[in-house]
Amino acid sequence: MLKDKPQHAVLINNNQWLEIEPQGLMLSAVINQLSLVESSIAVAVNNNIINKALWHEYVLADGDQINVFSAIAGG
Amino acid sequence: MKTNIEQDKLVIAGHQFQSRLFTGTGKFATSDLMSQSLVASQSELVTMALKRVDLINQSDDILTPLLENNMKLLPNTSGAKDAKDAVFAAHLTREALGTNWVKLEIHPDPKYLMPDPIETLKAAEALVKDGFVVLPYMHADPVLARQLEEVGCAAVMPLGAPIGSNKGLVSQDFLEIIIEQANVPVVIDAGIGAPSHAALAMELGADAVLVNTAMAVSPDPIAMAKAFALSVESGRLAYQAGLGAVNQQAIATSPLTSFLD
Repeated sequence: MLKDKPQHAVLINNNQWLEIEPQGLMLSAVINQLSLVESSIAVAVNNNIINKALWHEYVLADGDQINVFSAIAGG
Repeated sequence: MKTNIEQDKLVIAGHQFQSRLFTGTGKFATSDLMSQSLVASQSELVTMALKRVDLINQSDDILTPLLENNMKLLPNTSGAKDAKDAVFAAHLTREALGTNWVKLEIHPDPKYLMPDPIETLKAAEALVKDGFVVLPYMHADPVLARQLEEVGCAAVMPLGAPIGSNKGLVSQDFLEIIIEQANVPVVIDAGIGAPSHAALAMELGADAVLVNTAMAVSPDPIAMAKAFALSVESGRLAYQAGLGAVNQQAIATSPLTSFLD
């Protein structure tokens, strides 16, 4: 994870750049790389929520903004 | 009458609850203490929030103990400043947690966390159309309660007092009007700081209460959770049994025949 943007990269949670190949990267590959519990997270790319079933076919492009959310304690 | 009391069940959007005590997962010292307290409360509906994952320090898994104990999840939209935020947050919770139930809360002011009535009504209408079971956190406003009911909310959740304030039912007179007029369950949310507050809410005819801070910040949250479970049950039973009239003047309990005569 990088603080400054490499030439081809996606931005994760508004603060970390992840370098990708110029031809793009599957969203599912990014989720795998972050080692998250997939069953209880939601993922939005450029503020559009991407359903879990579509992660393996969603190709990320340079500059895409990925936000990953999960449940935390709250009232 | 007895039969009615025994068969007393709360139903929200077709889901039946044995317990009328709803709980939150916030502010417990550890997630272990949280799950033990929630089990002790016998609560079947439990709230949680949604947040961007901290990729460096991942937070405790709060879901597993809840699901292991068959608790139904009620994710909230906490952090939403307007209807647009709240609708987005609700869709995220549905995707993350696989439930269409949502506690709609929109409070733009961080000091008093007062719910925004206009944005809440707008979001409620949109979310109902999107297939959500919407339980809105709201001020104890009888007019708004009716409007939220009209747009299809499954219940209304008026506040007793500001969130986390432990002040009790400072809005009591207006809660009573809401309860009198409602055709959907009324859940008193926020401000309930003691089991006696919860019992009072139930005696007034509330269908359920939602308690979080009062349990979580107690030095013994497990015992406090039990105390709340008993008070909710007690208050409900008293409501069903029917309370006696309040009188200014004394009315003798014993016969006043003067046995010394």
